[in-house]
Amino acid sequence: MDNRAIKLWFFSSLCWLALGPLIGLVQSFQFLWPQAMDVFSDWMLPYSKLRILHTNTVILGWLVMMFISATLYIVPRLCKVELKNASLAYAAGWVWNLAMALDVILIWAGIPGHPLLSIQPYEYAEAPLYCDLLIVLSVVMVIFSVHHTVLKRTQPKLYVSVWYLLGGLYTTAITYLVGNFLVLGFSGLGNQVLESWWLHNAVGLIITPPGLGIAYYVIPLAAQRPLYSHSLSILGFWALMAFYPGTGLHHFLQMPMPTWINEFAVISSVLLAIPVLAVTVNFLATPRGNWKRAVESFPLRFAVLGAVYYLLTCIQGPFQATSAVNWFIHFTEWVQAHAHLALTGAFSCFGMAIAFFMFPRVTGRQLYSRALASWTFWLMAVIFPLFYLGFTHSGLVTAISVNVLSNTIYETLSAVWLARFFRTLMGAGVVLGFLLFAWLIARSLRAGKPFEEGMNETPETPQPVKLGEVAA
Amino acid sequence: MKQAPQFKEIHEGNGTFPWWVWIAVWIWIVYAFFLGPFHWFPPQG
Repeated sequence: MDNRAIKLWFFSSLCWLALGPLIGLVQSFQFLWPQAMDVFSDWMLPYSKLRILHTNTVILGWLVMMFISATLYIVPRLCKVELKNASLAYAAGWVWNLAMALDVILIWAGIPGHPLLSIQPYEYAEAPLYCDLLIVLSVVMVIFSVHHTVLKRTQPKLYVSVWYLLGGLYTTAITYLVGNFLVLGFSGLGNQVLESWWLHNAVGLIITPPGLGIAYYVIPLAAQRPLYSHSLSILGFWALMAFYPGTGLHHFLQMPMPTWINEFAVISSVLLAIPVLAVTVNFLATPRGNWKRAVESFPLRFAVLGAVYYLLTCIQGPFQATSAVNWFIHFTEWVQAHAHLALTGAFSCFGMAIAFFMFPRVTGRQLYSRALASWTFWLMAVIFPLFYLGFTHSGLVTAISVNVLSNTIYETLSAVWLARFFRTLMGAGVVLGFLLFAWLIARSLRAGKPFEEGMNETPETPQPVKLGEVAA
Repeated sequence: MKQAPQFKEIHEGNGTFPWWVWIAVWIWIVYAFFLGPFHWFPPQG
């Protein structure tokens, strides 16, 4: 099989992963020691630009590129056919990288007032229009290749991962066009409605479908068990497509907005319980009877960890969208903590699961160190929840200080410092986990032993030597 | 003639929602539609 395109998207995503979380760490230092960190402003990198660079590189660089790499790997295998137009998918990878590199340079440069080269004033859609055009071109090229592959399949039945991965490419194109182009044609309320629609669906319709499609692929194969339920997988897909698009407006519950729009957003969010339960029950019930595979299989470990984080974030999301809670936590770091639970927790774990699964099969090399793989896993399983709790705690302290005690901003900043310090410490652990993960993969290109199907992705656990065997 | 690549099949079962999911859903509906819409504590006093 032609793996050039898969490798390009795969290794590019790792490069962006090495950059994106580090920027987040620098931002957290800026919260703690703003004056000492003024040096970044001297380099034309104030907090406002670093925030944009952080979200753009993590979402569009790390997650989307890894998920497209996974799409190019999974779809042909499930369709039992070679990837069609592989050169187009390969070229699309370079176009996307060009867009990302230009995005970083143009955000750093901060050119004002230019229709194509200026930063856009929309959250997650700050990339200048010039970059947006390149990204849309790249997505269209990938869609052409993947859809052509599906049309030429020799396997008549479409496994649910293909639904999610192909559907996810189309929802990516639609969401990106709305959030980066259509929004420019509206002003006032309409502009804000489209902005919030994009804002939440950047996660819900760009990241979620491929993330779930990947987990549906990795879990049964790594656990060596059949998928728990075909009917729940179909229910989950269509319920997600039906209810997710309406949820975005819950971001603006505390702003002037027609009540019916707010209620529509809250009800859509509440109904998300249906796809979330269908998906997570399927994920967590599939390995039943063969959980011992989780000891040896890192793809399974990461996919199951991602499923747990996905369940937690999808319980928290609709809960905080209801009026009883939203007024309290809105405008606090609780919301960013929630975003990290989804993107750093759930979807990065799905990304790492498929990376561990694909790497040996695409390069023919095993991952060279089981110990390093274990470190990345435990940093994500133990330190990430502490980071998330520190983040959430910081949000709650702010909420109490502002909403209950009616403190000033200065009193609130003093009150929240220690929580932010804890968040930074734990966040450094999570960044370390990502860097170890990227290093493990890069090093395995040379140091990994030859891999064949049927072997573990990492070297096997050394078996304890029995005394009797030594004596013999 | 080039052989078609061989890939592992993923088999699918016919499982359903376990019983506790239905309890969770009912708790969620009661909270979301009967309790959630009301502010327990008025914003800003």
